[in-house]
Amino acid sequence: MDLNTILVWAFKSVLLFFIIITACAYYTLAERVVSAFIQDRRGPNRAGPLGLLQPLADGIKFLTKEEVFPTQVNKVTYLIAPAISVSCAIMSWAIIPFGGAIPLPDSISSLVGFKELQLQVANPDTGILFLLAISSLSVYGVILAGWSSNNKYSLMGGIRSTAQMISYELPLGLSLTAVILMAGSLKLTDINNAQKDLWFVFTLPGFFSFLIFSVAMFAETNRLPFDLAEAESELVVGFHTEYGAFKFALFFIAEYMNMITMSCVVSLLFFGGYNVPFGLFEGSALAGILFFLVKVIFFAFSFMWVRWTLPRFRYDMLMNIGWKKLIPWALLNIVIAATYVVYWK
Amino acid sequence: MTLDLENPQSILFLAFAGVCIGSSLAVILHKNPVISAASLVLSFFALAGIYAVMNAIFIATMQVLVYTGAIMVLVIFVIMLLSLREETNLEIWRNPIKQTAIVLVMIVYGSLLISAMNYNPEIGNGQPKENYSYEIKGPVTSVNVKGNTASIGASTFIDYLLPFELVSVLLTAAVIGAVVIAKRDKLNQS
Repeated sequence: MDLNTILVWAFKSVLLFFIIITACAYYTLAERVVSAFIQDRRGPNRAGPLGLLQPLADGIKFLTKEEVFPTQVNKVTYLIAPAISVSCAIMSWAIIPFGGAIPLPDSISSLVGFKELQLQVANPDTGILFLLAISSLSVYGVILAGWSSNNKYSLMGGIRSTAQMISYELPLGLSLTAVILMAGSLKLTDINNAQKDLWFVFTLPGFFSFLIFSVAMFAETNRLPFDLAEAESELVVGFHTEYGAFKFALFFIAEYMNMITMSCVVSLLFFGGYNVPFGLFEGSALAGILFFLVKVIFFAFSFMWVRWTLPRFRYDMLMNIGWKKLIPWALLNIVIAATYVVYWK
Repeated sequence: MTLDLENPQSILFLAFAGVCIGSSLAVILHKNPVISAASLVLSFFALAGIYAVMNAIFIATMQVLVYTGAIMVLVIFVIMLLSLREETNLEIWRNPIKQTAIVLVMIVYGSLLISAMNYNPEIGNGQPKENYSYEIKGPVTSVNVKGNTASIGASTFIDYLLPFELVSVLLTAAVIGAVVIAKRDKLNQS
């Protein structure tokens, strides 16, 4: 481990951090514009041309608001909870590859000591499992926020949300097993390369696993139709009822980051990632990145599309879908995937 | 692993070990059960960090996924649902069963400490490996897999297949047992 490697890692991390923050800011704007479009009204259009400076205005508002502490909260956990949420959301971006390796020109490669730049901060051996591990950690942000607020709505929201997240982690992980079986590797880059000729969504086990994954994905990110955690009509806003100003902004950012992460994962695992279909633009890394971005934006859009179209599920229905439908189907799908890998491939 | 302060791995090891010890102390010393459980989470996470420093990335991920992510969430969940109150020191020390338990735990950990002090790094090959590889000794002799995950997979499913299957049967029995016990309680109540 030499200094160059560490410097390149640090550079990539900082760059990625700014990209995520900007992406999140404009995702919130997109959410408001799309909701306005779906509800047939005008969205935010005052700040800057076409309302493009709205995220900046929101950010300044969150930062300059008065920091309010409720009197009966447990201070330490109350402050740590939003930090856990947002740091887990950022950490999971470390392993997402945004494109193939970019070959560096000689002048730069002699300086940094390697020939191509991987568009990925880290590529651990455990790949997708790392993502699952981090997403299982983000439950603590919710659970500690709900508990430390010392408010019945927060506690109920926290407990509901935790139950939902740990229930839907199982079908999420099981549906990934089919993909891992087909790709024969846990690394996201290997899974991407395995789809060079055929996207996994066009295979039978891949299609089933995409259906299960996409339902579990909405539940994991606590979005409608599964946003039981913040069912406004019954729980105010659930676990972050007592949070205001920047502490609320952190939860908000974490939610949007998780949605972008899930969009990246679903396009990497099922829709060919940064492979360009039909062998077009052979060897061009830039075309791959663009194709990947288009897919990610489509899935990010579908999150909003679903939110403003479907009503919320009832709590017992949510648990029934998770435990009695998705998990048995996912288990069956693993058998189908194993048969597919042995006999058809 | 030998300690060498020039080496970044040693610094990381010391950092994670410090967090691990500190949060473990918080687990047993803090009076609030939820904070204790949260400290245990931090301790498990630091342990995963130590595994990662030793290049055992698969075990580190599993530590986070299974212990930190799954088991401790359930523990905190149960503590929150039971809404336990803060303990006072007197209640702990006056109980004779707990006094005996403290003595027994001290004996066990004392013997562990003595064996750890006699540990010879030459025998255990204490250096972390850069690249793991595993040669299979079973019926398939010509396979040599590279990488952390693949090595563990090969050794589990080829060399240690029978013990692995036996453990999975044991776990299935435990799950069925838990379901049966939970159901019987429900029948008695109604």
